[in-house]
Amino acid sequence: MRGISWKKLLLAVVVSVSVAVPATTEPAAAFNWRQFAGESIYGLVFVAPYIDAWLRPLIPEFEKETGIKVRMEALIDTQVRQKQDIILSGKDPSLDFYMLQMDNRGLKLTAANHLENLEPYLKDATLTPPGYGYPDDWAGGCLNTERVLAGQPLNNLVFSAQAQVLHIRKDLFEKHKVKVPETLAELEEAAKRLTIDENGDGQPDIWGFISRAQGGLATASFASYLFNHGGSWIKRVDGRRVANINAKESVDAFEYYGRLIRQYAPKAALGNRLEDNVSLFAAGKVAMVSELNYFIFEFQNPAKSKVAGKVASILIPRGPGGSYPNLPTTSLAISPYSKKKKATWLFLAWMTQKDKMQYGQNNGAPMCRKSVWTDPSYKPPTPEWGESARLALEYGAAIAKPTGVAISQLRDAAGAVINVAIRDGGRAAIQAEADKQAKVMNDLIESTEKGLEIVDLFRPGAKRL
Amino acid sequence: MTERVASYPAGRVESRRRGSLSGWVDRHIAFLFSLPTGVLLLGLVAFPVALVLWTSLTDWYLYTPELRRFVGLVNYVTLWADPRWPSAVWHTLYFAGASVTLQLILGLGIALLFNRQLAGRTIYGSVLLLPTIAMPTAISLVWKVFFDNTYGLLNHALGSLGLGPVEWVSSPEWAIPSLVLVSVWQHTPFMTLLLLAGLQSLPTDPYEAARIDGASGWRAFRHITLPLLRAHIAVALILRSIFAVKEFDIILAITGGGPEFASETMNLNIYLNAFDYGYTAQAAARGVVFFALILAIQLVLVRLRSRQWSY
Repeated sequence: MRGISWKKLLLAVVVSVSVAVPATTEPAAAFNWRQFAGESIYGLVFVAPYIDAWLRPLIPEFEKETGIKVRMEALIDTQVRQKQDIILSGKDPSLDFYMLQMDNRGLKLTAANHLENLEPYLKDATLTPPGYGYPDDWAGGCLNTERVLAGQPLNNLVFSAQAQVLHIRKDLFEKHKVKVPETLAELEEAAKRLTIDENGDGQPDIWGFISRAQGGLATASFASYLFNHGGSWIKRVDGRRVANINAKESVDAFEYYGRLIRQYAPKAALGNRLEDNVSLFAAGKVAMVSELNYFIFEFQNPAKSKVAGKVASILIPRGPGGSYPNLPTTSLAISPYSKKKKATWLFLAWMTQKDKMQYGQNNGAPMCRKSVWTDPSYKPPTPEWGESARLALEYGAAIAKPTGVAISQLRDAAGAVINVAIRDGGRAAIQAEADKQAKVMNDLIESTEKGLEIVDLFRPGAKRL
Repeated sequence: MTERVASYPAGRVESRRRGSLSGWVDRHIAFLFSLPTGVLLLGLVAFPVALVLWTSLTDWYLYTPELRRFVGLVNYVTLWADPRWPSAVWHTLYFAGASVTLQLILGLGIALLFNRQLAGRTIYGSVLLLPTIAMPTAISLVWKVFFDNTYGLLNHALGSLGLGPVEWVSSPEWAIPSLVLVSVWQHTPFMTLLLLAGLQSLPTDPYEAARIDGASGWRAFRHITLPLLRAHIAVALILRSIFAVKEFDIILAITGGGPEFASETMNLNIYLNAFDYGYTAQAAARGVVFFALILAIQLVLVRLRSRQWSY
């Protein structure tokens, strides 16, 4: 057989390459962000640091890139919830997107079908940009909070995770040679030693500790103390949810928390909102405050704080029951009554892209994407804060409130026990109140959760610290 | 017929007789002029009242409005089983009774003082009115700072007098007295204005006669001023008691109904049930009971006003 001539071989190679190359180098079709240009959407959000650090500054860029006009109303949390409830219960189509905390009202709103199923939008390649990264790039602690009912579709996009931590005055600890607490017993000892009467008038000038003490609102700060003692809000008995606030470990936690506030916090704590506690700490009047981690940015701002540069943030110390970081998260959701769901989904998807969440992260809004925490552009406000936030994201759960449909009343019931623990402090009184409120909680669970399969706080296989 | 049409021009009489539109308008002019007011009252008052009454007879839960059913008077029975409701009724009566009584005593005292020919009375009067015209929420936030246990002005003042601090809004015992203090500060000027107007309208002859008879100032006040001022006091009490029973903003802003629901009034309880818990029907029933309470208080005061006083 005669060999193939080198000319014919060369021709074959050239022809093959010229056919193959365009197929591999032809650019992929760009994602069409302008597919709903001309639409306008309206959303209700609550006033929080991530609004000004992330959402609001990026809206003009979103509007320019997509041609979708955004009208966003930010109110304080109680006002937002009431307005959301009225609009959603009335099936008003004017509301397109809204903000919520799944561990707060997620169950109530999911049971009432007030959240649009987001899975079709996530799977639609024309609506979700390539490389979007959900759920792989989302932290496990955040994903744990998205579903509240068994078999529930994804109906919210979690974006922010603000752990409850202990902000401490490093300078006071160093000056008075007090060990940074690693256990709850050490925390109490530190609070005692750092309640200081500087001018000798018999009244403390610096208080050792402060935390939320106002009824139902206090549950968010109290939660880690409860779980770290081995207690919990609700437990399963034969598959049924029953209140657990009157168990021995829970009462231990109430007693401990009540004692900390009664003995080492200013009397004002009993009537303070969280902003008041934060202000007292920023004014240098308190050595430790148990609060959300994003307040570090306020504490580190010399224009707003006298303790800038002197603060470290650590997880709530471990207790006899272990360590349970409290990770309340915030989500964005689409109203099922909106007439512009796809345009609204584009807004959610655009805002939660990696570079946009990086912007928020770098501006002081802790975000749920894992990659924004390891990006070279991100610098945590303090090394301790960065470590506590990382641990909370990985191991945290939304334990801030007793989950349930009647969330407000359940919180009030637990808050009543906190109040007795702070004011009275006697074990018998706390136990009596806990027994009474446990009954109230059980009645509420019984009357409002018929037929609902509520998922537990800690998912099977969830990592423990 | 002749008398009725005597004032009308002849052409007008013709059109009325023929049943024309203008004739119809003429015959029903009073009704037509009242129609806009009637529609407004129907839409803004009658319809909401009827809706609340209807809602109170259902089991409407805000989050599942499609499951609403008629349940009759069940809500009116079960609301008394909620321990917070009877407490809220007591707190409402306590707050309103204490604040209105103190406003009356102080208001009358200041009105008597202003009724004299005092130098600078106009200036004092203007300054006195400032609390009444200030925004309730702004007032509440300022008073909250005053009430602070550790850094507040009130405890600082008590300390300088050698007295111990008071847990103003952070103790259940002092929560309502603290709110009464704010209410008295804010609304005494209004009471003063009403009573001052009454004092200035009183005849001077009885006082002349009393002075001639040698009556002391106290006897003149007790046997002349008070009886003559009765009607004005009753009006002031009626108005202030309605507002005191309905007080909402200072309670929500200062204590939020706490601590431990110690300052939760009926108004606040209704608000929480409706907008926080979503128990729309139960909130409606409580609203009806609240309205009945206000009505009962007003009936008592109106009877007091019409009672014959001897002097």
